[in-house]
Amino acid sequence: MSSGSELPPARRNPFSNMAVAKIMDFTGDDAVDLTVETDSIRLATSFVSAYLAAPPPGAHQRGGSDVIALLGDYGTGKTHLALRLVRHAGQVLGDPARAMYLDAPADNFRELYRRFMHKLGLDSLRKQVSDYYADIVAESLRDSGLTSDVVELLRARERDPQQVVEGLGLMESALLREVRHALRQVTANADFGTALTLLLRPGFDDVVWAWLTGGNPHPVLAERGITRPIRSEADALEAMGVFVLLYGGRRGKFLLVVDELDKIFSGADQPQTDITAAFQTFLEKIGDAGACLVLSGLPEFHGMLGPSVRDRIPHVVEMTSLSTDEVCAFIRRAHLAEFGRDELEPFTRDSARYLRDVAGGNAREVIRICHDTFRMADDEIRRTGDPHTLVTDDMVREAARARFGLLSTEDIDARLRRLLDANGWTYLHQHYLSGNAESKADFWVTFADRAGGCALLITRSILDSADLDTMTRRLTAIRGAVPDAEVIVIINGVLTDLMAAQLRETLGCEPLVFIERSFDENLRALLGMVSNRLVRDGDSDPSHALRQRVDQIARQQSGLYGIIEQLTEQVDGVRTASARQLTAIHRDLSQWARARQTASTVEPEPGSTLPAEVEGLFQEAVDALDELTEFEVMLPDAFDEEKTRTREPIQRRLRTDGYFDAVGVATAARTTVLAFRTAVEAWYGRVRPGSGRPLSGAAEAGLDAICRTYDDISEFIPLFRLEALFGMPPWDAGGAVAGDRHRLARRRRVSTALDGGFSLRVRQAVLRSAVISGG
Amino acid sequence: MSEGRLNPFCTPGFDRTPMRPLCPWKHPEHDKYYVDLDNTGPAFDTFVEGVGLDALDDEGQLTLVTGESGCGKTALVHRCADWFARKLREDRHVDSAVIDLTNALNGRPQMAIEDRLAAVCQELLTELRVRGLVRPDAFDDLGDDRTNPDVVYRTLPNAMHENTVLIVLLPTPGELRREVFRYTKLASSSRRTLLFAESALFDEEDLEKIVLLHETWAPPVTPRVGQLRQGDVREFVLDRLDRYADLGIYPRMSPETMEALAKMVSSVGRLQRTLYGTYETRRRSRRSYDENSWVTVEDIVDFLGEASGGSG
Repeated sequence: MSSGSELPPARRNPFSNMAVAKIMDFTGDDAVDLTVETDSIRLATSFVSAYLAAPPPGAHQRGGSDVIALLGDYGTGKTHLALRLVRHAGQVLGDPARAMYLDAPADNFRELYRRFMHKLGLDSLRKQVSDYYADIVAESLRDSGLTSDVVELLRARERDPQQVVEGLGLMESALLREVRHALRQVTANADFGTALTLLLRPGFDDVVWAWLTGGNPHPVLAERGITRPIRSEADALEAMGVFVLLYGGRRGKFLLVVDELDKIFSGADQPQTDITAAFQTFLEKIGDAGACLVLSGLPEFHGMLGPSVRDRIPHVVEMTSLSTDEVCAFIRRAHLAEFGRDELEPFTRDSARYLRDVAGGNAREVIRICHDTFRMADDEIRRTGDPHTLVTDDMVREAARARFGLLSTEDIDARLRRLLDANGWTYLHQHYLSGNAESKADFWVTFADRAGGCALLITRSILDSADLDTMTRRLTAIRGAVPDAEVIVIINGVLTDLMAAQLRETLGCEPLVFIERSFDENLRALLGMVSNRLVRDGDSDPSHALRQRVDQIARQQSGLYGIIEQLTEQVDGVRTASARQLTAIHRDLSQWARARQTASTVEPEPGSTLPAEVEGLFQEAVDALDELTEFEVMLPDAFDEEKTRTREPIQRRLRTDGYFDAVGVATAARTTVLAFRTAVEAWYGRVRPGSGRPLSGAAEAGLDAICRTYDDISEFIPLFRLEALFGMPPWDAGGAVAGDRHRLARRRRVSTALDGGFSLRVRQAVLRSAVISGG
Repeated sequence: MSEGRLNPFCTPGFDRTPMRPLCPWKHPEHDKYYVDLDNTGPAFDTFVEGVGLDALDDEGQLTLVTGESGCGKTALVHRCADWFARKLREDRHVDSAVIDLTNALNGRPQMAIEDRLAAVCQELLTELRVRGLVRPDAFDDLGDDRTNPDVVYRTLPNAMHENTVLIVLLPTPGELRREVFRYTKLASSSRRTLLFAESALFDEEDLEKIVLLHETWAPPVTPRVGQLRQGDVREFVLDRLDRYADLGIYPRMSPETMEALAKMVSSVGRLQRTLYGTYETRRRSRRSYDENSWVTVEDIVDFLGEASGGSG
């Protein structure tokens, strides 16, 4: 077997984040549009096209309600479609400023509004107000018959209205009063009418912009009657409505896409009444403005809106999964973009079908598995020298099984235990229902006044018949031991369509695939259902059933107390640890700073020249990894005379299986991130985006090359080997055992920071900052 | 050659700045140039009736001139200030000093009312000292209160020479009614002080609110200029064309052209700009420019096209 250094160089992965981003990128003229025309895409595009083609409503006519909901699970391509619609509208309207994409970054409308305003920008806003002024000045000149060409120039926005007013000595005060009146009418809000009119007068820009972006009204504004900040959720929605009216309200069309809106609506179980009302008003303003609004989110967000709001969303588009043909088309396009060849190899139609099946047609999963299996096939080609090595079903299965980010066995156990405790259900963990080793239930749940029980069986992905056979044997053993037993199969991974059908047949019901956001609710519902199916216990004494119910409530309460106690302990632990270390904190910080300085030559500089958003991404990635290793904190502690009990925990860590493997991976990942950061910073130094010049194609290509280099390196860093570090308690917890929540949080933090398109996020943040600072 | 070819719409002393409002307190000859357009005659009468020479012995007063841009507010303020100064001199043998602070806030960022008052107050003190209108040590005891308008305006009468009245032209309060209220109060606390302010951003309704705001204080005198009425354009053109007949040569204007012009302009500011610009364009052109030639509607249209940045 040849060593890695003797192998021919690896091919660039056409399914890396950057590669996929590039072919899905709409900014370049030569970009290849990856979009495969699914029914959902066709439907949504037809709605938007109809809106764009319709004549604008007359002056006193109300526009129809052009609100579209795009509903789909994670990774089904909502964002891609949303961006495509924005691009389409921008092209048709001939003005990209009239088509805006917003992703909801936080769980509130205030933040969404802030983003909205920054996307609009002060210059655009000033121009919009100036357009109103131009129309009013043009109107005042229209009847004079003396300056008809000036009227036309004003209407075509080829003359500055302020210069015309000055040049002709027009009655500026009366014209400005008319503008204010018009803006108050359009925005249906006196404060906005006043503030926007002030943009036409010198010296007010800063205070008006500060207020519009959420600041307290400056005294200069307060003295003009603007006393309330735009602070609440309802305020933010009202303000967004005002600007939609401003931009769309006269003769223009305006498309606004709000992506991931579910984040806001799922923040609370039930959206507050005033927010729902404000959202409803916002939708009405969309209609008044003749604008088009696209709301994108998880399917459940639509249901959370309430009937009165849903009534105002006439078009609902549900994202469909990709078909085998579409997966094949995607692979071909990716190959074409990367290698210039429209070919399927190393995939085949069969492997593409299986891959689609495993991914459930989910676009994001398809891309992930394509990425991993392409690498496997390419490695195999380099190892064997056979250029026709193909992606096999085994490779697809391996890629699906090794998917990073799934819950560990301990995590899912802990999750289930918490759920059962919280609901007061009685259960046994790792319970054998007979002498047969296969009859082990991961959890055996019993119910008051019900005979038998329900076995919860947890399994990783079921991708082939071997996996299915294993599960079938377990089911048979359990039913052999307790014939009336109910069984719920929980799949912590992937279940292909074919295997799902066969498992359903054996099981007699649907298996439960673990999906983070809905798991608890679904399992609760399933357990409730099976408990009703179980036959009643022979004891007919009603008081017995009552006693059992009271017992269940007591257990439920005790479960809650348990959680509270656990939380209290954790808080105490943190407090104790904090107190113990308080005296050494100052010295620790100095040591830590020194250690960071010497740890790497590419350490972030204190005076970083990167924009805050970009720097934040790098910092989060480095912090997530540092939190895992904690070397810089842990090792100095070992030599600290005041900390006498530190050596033993360190030794325990060092002896942990897989520890060094994981630390090596973390170090490699950290160094790669920092090198990536250095390269981006150097790019910034060369290109200086935001210095007033538009970003050149060469500069953007340079940035893309840096991002792709990161992708090419990082795809070989096995982040899944960090597992040993996820389970370790924080060093400052004083040797406490790491809770499963903590383990899960660490894994999520690394996954969020580094997995799933880190380079792409950096690229987007860089481009975004270039646009914002460049005005 | 342009010798003897003059532009009859130039104002003496303002050859290069034809749009500057008349200013008789600085250029006494301007007094004869006032033509009662834009309701300036009744507005001036409002001032004369509203302001009392004797009343200033007890407390000062604010005059707020309002009207749209270009309707002659500043020219009216200057006329009122000049009339008042002359009246004091002639009737009571009292000296007066006009202090023009209208540009005191120019070039500064937008400020809150109290900051604006303080900045103007500071400028006023500087001006008074530079012009020797107050005793040199008059405000030494004030310390930090030198930027406190309430203290400064109250102290002002004692700091000034006994036989002097102060006439201060303030920066425009814009749309700030409260600023007007503050100046009214400040004026009332300061004997022998007459303040003037002007604003294009107050309408009739605002003036009513300003009066309401002064429930327990004497409200300001509020002359209001209006827009051009029928005959105003003709009156103005004839005044200027007659005025210079002996001093130089320039084209005439027919009643029909004046009538057409009246339809194009609604304020004296725009009228002055249009006439000056049209005559100036014609004067610099190669076309005839003498008493036998005529400025026509086409000349006016050409000028307006050029002035608005259009092609004509």
